[in-house]
Amino acid sequence: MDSSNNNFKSFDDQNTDLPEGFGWEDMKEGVYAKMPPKKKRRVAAWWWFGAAGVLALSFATWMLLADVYSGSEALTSDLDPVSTSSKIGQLKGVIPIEGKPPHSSGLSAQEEDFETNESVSNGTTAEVPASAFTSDLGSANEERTQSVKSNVVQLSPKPVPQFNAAVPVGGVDRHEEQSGMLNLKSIVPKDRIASSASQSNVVEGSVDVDRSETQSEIQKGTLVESEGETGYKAVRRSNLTSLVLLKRPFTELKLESTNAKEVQSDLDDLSVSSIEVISLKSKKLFSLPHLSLINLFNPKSTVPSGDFVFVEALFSVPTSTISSVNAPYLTPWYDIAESFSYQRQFKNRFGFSVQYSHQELKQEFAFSELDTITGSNQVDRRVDFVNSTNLALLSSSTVRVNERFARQRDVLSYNVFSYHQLSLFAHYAQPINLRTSLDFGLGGSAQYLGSARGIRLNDTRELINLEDTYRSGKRFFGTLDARLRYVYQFSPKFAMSVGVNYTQALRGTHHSSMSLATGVRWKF
Amino acid sequence: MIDPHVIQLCLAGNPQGHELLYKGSAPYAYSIASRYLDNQEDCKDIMQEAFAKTFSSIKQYDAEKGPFKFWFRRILVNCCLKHLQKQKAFLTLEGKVADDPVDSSYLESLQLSRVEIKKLLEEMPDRYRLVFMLSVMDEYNHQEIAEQLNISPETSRSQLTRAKQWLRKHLEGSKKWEQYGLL
Repeated sequence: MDSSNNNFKSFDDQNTDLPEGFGWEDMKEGVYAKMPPKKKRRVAAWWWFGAAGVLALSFATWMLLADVYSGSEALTSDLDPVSTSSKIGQLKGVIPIEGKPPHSSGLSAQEEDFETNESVSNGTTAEVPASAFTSDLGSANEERTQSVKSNVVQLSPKPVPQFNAAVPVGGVDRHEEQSGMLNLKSIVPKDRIASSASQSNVVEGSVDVDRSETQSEIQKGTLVESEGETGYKAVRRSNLTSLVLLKRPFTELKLESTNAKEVQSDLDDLSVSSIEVISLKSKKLFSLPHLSLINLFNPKSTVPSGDFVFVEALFSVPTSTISSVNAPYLTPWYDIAESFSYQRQFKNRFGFSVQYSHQELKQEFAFSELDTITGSNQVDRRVDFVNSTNLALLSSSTVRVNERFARQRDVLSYNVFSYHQLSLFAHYAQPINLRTSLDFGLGGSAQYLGSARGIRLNDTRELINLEDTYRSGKRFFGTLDARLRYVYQFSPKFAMSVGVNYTQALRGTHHSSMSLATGVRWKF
Repeated sequence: MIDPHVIQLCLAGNPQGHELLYKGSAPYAYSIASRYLDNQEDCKDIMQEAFAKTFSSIKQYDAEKGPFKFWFRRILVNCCLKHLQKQKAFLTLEGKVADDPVDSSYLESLQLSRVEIKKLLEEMPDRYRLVFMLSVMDEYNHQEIAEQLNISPETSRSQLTRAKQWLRKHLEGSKKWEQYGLL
């Protein structure tokens, strides 16, 4: 029938006046009240994964594009060959400081973070060479000078011993000496410490110094220099009285202490590690020395070792079509899981972890009005209907399955499977730089199907209740798992990770899946 | 009927878009709802429900598949039928299949005013009216009607035949019938 000529078909198109009480102002409250609430949990999960993804991409981009090594060849070529006999050692005058140094004003946020996470000085020292603040800093470095100057407010004019140590980098791979993220215990051979000529390059760098044989252990120093000049941006010190300052583009290490005797007596035991080039002949807006790449295959590079706990959220999608949870009329499933793990990491980069996960696997059951549903018994079933138009839960009703199922178009129901999983992983952690590492894991999992809720059609188009189906069926499953995590260490005790999991089902009736994971980790 | 810009506003969840869409569709919606539901309060309630579904699922509307009003009409009619289903309004629809199909070509030629159609629908027996409206006015096929009303397709055809028989009989002797030479 041609609708244009049909009064009946065009009946509703004719303009009619709305009765009283049908205006928008009268109706909108009821309309919005009937709109389904947004699924906040799903939105929150996406935000979480999105934010984590952006963070990971940002770091990856920075690491790839940062001008980390520009000019490094020029620097190394100008340096003298490594001397195998020299040790730290030239006594110079130092200005002692009484009381706790006001170093924080000169520290970057990052260094402050270090400060708060390590044992704090018992309060006597901050040694800074007076000459450095007055003569070594040029106008180009004025801002830093001001920063450093604020650190020396409490300087006393009384001279104390000062030592200069040259740390050669020419002729060797500088990065070979890096010790990995936040690990301040590595000691490089002393023959790497040698007297050396000064080098005039623009350098920002950091160095980890370890004097393991004394209590006054110097842990970390940071140097900022501009071309031809030397400055001291910040200073790290151990929990005792010593402090390290760096001078020149890591060709010279200057050590100072208010405790002259201690430094003097143990000076020969001092060794240097973790020399890191941040930038040469260029100055970045943000200086992130800890993100410089290191030699990935250097066995001396380490990652934080110890005991960790971590919490992760995972979002999984299936990689196999055969699954115990698949059935006709079901949409592809997705899975959101939370995991809690204990990990033991050894100094040799290997480790293991035990992990408990709870997964909630969700599918949508849909059928069209053309489907016919019949039942096999008289059991009443409680069915949650949702309308596919908006996927909102509309009502619940009791359906007698041997009746003709009166239904709306595209009725849906959620099939929800709840799994408990226990996993065991062997780990290998590959340091990337002072802050980051890649964590590889291989292991296996045992899964237990805790509950299955919802309705669906089976192969014979019978309406079935999942709970009945899985009550007597197999509820234990085994999987092989592989995981990869990019770990960023915010502090010695706190890290964030982003990565992927692959789960291979051991039985054909269970599902294999790929997961995105992100979480946080604490050392205890 | 509805400007694509209004659809875009609704897609963005803009309340102004909701208002514009409502104002553009409400007379059409009321016309449909009042055909199925006698009670004004029911009409209001169902219209609210239909618009709520429309706003929340506007992303599913595909302009390439047809005008917005057809998509919206499906939502609204489904809401009406669901409401009637709750009231057990479909129970009287099962009946004997009509023996003789009726020639319904006269429907295409009828030129009835809105008031006349409304009067006809009001006078039409309930058991015919629902199928008639779904089939003739809302363009559901018999399979769809059967699914919606929980009846068989044969019953749907039967009810439609009877509705047309009733309509022909009702129009016999009237001015319109004579005017268009349908007797």
